[in-house]
Amino acid sequence: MKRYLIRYTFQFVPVLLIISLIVFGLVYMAGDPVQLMLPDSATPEEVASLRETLGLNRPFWVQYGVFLKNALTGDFGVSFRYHADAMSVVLDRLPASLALGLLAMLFALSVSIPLGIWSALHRNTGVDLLITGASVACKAMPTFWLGLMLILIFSVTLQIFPVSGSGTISHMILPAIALGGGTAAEITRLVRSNMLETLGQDYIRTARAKGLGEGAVIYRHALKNCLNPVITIITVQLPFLIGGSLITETVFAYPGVGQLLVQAVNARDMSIVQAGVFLIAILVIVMNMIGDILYRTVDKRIKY
Amino acid sequence: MSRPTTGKTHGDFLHAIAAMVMMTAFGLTGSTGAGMFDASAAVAQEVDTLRIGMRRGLLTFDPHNNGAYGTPLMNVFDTLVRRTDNGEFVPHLAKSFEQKDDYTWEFVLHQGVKFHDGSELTARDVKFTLDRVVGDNRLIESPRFATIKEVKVLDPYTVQIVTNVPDPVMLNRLIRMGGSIMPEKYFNEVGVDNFTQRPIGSGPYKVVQYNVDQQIVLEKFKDYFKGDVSDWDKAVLTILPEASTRVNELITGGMDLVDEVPPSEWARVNGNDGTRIVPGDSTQVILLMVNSNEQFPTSDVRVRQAIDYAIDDKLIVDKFFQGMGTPTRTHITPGITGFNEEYYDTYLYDLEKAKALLAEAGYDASNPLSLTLQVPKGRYLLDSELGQLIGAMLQLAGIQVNFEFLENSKYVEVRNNNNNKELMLAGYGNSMFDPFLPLNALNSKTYFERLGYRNERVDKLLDEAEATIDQEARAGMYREAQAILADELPFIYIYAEQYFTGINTNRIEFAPPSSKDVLIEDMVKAE
Repeated sequence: MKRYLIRYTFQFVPVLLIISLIVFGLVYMAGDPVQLMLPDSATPEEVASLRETLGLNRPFWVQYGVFLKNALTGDFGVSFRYHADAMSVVLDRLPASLALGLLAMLFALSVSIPLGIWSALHRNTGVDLLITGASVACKAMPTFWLGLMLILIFSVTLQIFPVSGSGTISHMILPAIALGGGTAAEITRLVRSNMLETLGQDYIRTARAKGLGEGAVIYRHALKNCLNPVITIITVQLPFLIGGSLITETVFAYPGVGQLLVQAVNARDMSIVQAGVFLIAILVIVMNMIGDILYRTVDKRIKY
Repeated sequence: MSRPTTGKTHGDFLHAIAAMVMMTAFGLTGSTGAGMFDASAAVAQEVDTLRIGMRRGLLTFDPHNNGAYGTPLMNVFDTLVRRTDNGEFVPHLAKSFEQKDDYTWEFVLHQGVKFHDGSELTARDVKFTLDRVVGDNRLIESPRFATIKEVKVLDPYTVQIVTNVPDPVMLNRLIRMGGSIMPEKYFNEVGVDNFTQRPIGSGPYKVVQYNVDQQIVLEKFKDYFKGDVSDWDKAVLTILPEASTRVNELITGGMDLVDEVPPSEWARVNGNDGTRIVPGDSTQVILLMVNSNEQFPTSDVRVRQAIDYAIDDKLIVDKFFQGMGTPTRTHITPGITGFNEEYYDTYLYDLEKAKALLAEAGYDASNPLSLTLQVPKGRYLLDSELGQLIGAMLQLAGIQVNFEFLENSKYVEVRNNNNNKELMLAGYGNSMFDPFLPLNALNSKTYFERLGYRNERVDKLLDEAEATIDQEARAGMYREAQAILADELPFIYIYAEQYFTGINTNRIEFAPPSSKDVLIEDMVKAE
């Protein structure tokens, strides 16, 4: 375990470096922010002087070096829209996204596991067909479309939930369903196929032969084993549900990191974009690591 | 690491994950009432609270650096004078104003005007405001005030503005955001960064909460110098970038007014009981900016005229906006000095003539004209659809069109670096309500590198009109300039835009002003 952690930490460093290079490189290639900061009437001298002030006239690698040095201390510069430290603006929005992402995951799990089991147990029946069909459709549906449909049905027609915003749990239900829909579909299919595979195993036959009831066979013996891969899905999906909900948060005007990033890109508030992308990247790395550890913990066949 | 020894651990582990997820989700949301999320888009309906849904947030609360979007600012700050929709300038912070000579304007302020922090607004604040915008040319509004030479404080309530040249549009400069009077003392105390987070003006509403790109909460200012001017104690402005979200909020009663409703949503709003689309005239004209520099085929005036003849302006307005919008051959809209009705509400469309002009310029089927049309995405109402339709119309005339679709920020960069190709779709408003602003772009001293257009007569007319005080004489000059421009086409005008606001008719009555600024005091509570 210790060896594994050390190895992972060593992997962490180059990954982080590559991410920082990508984050910086993309913004660098996106063009010259000075043009947008100055009015149309600015003279070439003013443009040149602002570029010098901001250090934008230095070579790429020098600029990257400065960026990296500051990034390591969490300093991504000051957002010109918020007049505040970029990382702290992003961190302010993180709890909202965290809550939404976790709720979406909760929704996905609570829907997909029972459906997956049900579907496997009723293999090749109408119910099975319906569930697998629905999960394919759900996975294929673009998030924004699902979000708009949910709003039309539950907010506009039935008026059960608010259209947009945040503040109460009812504001989060529709965005969480829209966001978690794809993940739910994916886990449903995974649980179904794992369940089917597990039910064909010898030890299940043995358990049945021992005279165990069908419920005990399924829930005590089969389910445990077929849920292991779900952990992988959770740890892979969760960072995206938290940090990658750009479209959902925009459709529902939900003030999380996703909405912040979309608005920052539109306004070319690059310090926010860099801080946000960096944070999400770290989230992904850390969650992957946790997922790995958890997986190894529950599945004894995997060695460190 | 000790390994789990019993199978039971697996199940416990999964339970633990589920419990953790649940606890975290509810734990985080459970504490929201305490203000974890300050913004709440679905604002509860209260009798005296006006709820506005806006597509875009403010660039900044600094009135000198905000660009063109006035709605929140114009409620918080005051200007010396105001302009009515029929073109008259009326006193506002200034109880009277007078042009002393060609170079000097004098303004006498109301006494006892209070800023939101209780301090008095005096001539010193006027001087401070104008000195700042004139002196700092990094401010967006700065070029608009370039004619000001000096601001003199004669006494605490009298101020004179002295210009470098005779300036016939001084009042037009002062009516917009850049003319918003800011409190010198407070501004200097807190600095610009803090000022933009906690702005203070003298307007009818004060800012009580400002979450960038999310929400602005305004509250009626009890000591407003004109007294109680509005039906609303409070106004909540929420940023809702998605058009469908704005419309859904309007329909479900979550908003009283939403801006920028696209045509695809009109039927839904008008079909719903109690909500309606209110169209308003704006000064914005959608046009093709032509690059007439000699390396481009559009340097040939016949090519520009052919393009104009190939575009059916009326079809565009009918198809996209159900006829709401006016085809035009000029930038000067009704009610503005020098308005020339000969060129307004009219258009040239004649495909055969377009083809003949192209043939005359040396293009035919074996040697077709090929050009690039640059189109912004999400900058104007239906801009990319519009670009595609214009492109298709040009193709009917035998022109090969290469499209370049540009994201808003990229578009600005391309334009500002003069990397515009033959045609670029653009829209310019006229927030000063004077021909000076839109026509001066075509003075070769302004954007020659970008436009490549020079006509000495036009330059002379524009220069003279800019320094002529007599409005009749100016109008004549601008009318002549418009005639030349409609023939030579450095800009190919398409239509004058209307803008579309959705309102809850059970809550408000609203007559949209041509400035597009939503003044809360103008919104009457419905009976």
